[in-house]
Amino acid sequence: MLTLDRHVGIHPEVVSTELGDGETALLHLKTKTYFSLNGTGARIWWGLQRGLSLKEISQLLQSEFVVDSERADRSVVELVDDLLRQQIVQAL
Amino acid sequence: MSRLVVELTNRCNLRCGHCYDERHAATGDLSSEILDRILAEGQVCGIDHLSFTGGEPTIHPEFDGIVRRVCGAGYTFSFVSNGVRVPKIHPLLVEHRRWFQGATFSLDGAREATHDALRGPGSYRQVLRAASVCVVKNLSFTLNMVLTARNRGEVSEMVELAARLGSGGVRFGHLMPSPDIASRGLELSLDERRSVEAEIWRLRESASVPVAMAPGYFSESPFFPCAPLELEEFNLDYRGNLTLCCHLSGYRRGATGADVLGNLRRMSLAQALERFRQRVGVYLADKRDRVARGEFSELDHFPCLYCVKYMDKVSRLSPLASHPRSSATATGGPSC
Repeated sequence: MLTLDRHVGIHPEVVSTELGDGETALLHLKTKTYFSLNGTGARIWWGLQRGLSLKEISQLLQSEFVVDSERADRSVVELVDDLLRQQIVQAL
Repeated sequence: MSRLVVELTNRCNLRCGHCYDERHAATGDLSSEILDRILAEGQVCGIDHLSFTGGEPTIHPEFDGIVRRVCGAGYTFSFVSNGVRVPKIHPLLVEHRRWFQGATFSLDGAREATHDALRGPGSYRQVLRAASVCVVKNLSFTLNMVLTARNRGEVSEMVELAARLGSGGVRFGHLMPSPDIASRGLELSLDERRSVEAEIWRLRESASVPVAMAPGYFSESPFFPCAPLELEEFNLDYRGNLTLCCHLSGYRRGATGADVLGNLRRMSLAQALERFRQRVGVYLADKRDRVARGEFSELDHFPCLYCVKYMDKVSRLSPLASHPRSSATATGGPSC
C-alpha cells in the first residue's frame, strides 16, 4: 500500500514534456506507453521530478489549489499508484 | 493539385553524421519576398500544399509567421523535422490543425544508441518527445528513416516502433551519396540496398502501419515513379531556386546548377514551372536515348543514383566511382 511518506523516482526511460497549457505528456521509451497529465497531475509530476515526498507534494497541492488535505492526499496517492503500476515511476 | 516542397532554411540545429559539411556551416533562410510570390501565385499554378524541409524548417526565424500566412492564404502544409522544436511550436500546429497535414520525424534507428550515434546524443529522445506531444495533442505524424550501414539491421524494429508509437506510417529512404558520407562508412552497397529493399517490401505486406520507400529504390523500369517527374511535386530551395530535385540541395554550394530551373526573384512561379515541365521532358527524352543506346547500367536502376550522375550533383571523385559494385558504370555519366 502506497503511503505519503514514500519517495518515488521517475523511471530513467521516461520522457516528459510540459505543454504550456498545464498539461504534461509522458512517454515510456521501453513500453511505448503514453500518458497525459492534466493540471493537477502535472503539478504532482513537477514534485516528483524534484524528489519531493508524496506528503510534500500533497502540501504543495493544498497551497496552490482550493482542496482539503484528504482530497489532496488521495489525488497524489492515486496518481502515483497508477504511475507505479505503469512503471512510469519507481519506488526508491 | 500539386505540392511545393519548400526548403525554408538550409540551417540545422543538429550535426548528423550522414549529412554533408556544408549544411553544418549553412546560414541561409527563405526570404519573405519569395514566400509572398509562392502564396500569391501558387494556387493559380495548381499548387495547394506546401511541404517544408530544410535544414530544419522549424528553426526559420519566422516559422510562426510563415505558418500563419500559409494557412491564411488557404494552403495546407506539412514539414519534415528532427522534432527538437515540436514541444515549443505545437500550439501553433494545434491552432492551425485544419491546414496541418502532419509532421515527418527523422528517426534513423529503432534503438536509441543507433539513432544518437548518427544524429547526436539525446536526439532519439527528442524525436520520441515530439511524437508524444503529437499523440497527446492529436496531431498527425509519420517517421522517416535513412538507411545506412549502422541501422540496416533495424528495419523490422523500426516498423514495430512506428506502430507502437502511433505513427501514421514509416518511410525508408536510401542515403544520398557524397564523398563526405563515403568516408564515414555509412553507405550500403548496391547488393545491400536491394537486400534491405526486399525486407521492406516483405514487411509492408504484414505491417499494421503503412510502410513505404522513398523514390530511389531499385526499379526494373528505367521510368520509375518519382513525384517531380510525374509533375506532382516541385522543389524550391531557400534561395528561391526551383529545382528538379531536392536531394543534396546546396551540396557543393549548388555548384552545377544542372537542376536549377529558375529563381523566383527573377521570374514568376508560372514561368519557373513551365521551365520545370520542359526540363522533365528533356530529362525523359535523354533517358529514353540512353536506354536505346544500351547505356543503362545496374547503377542506373537506382533512380536517385542515376539522377545524381545525370545532374552532376557530386564530383567525379564521388565514392560512386570507386564503389566496388559500380566502378564500371559510374564514371561516365552524362553532363548537363
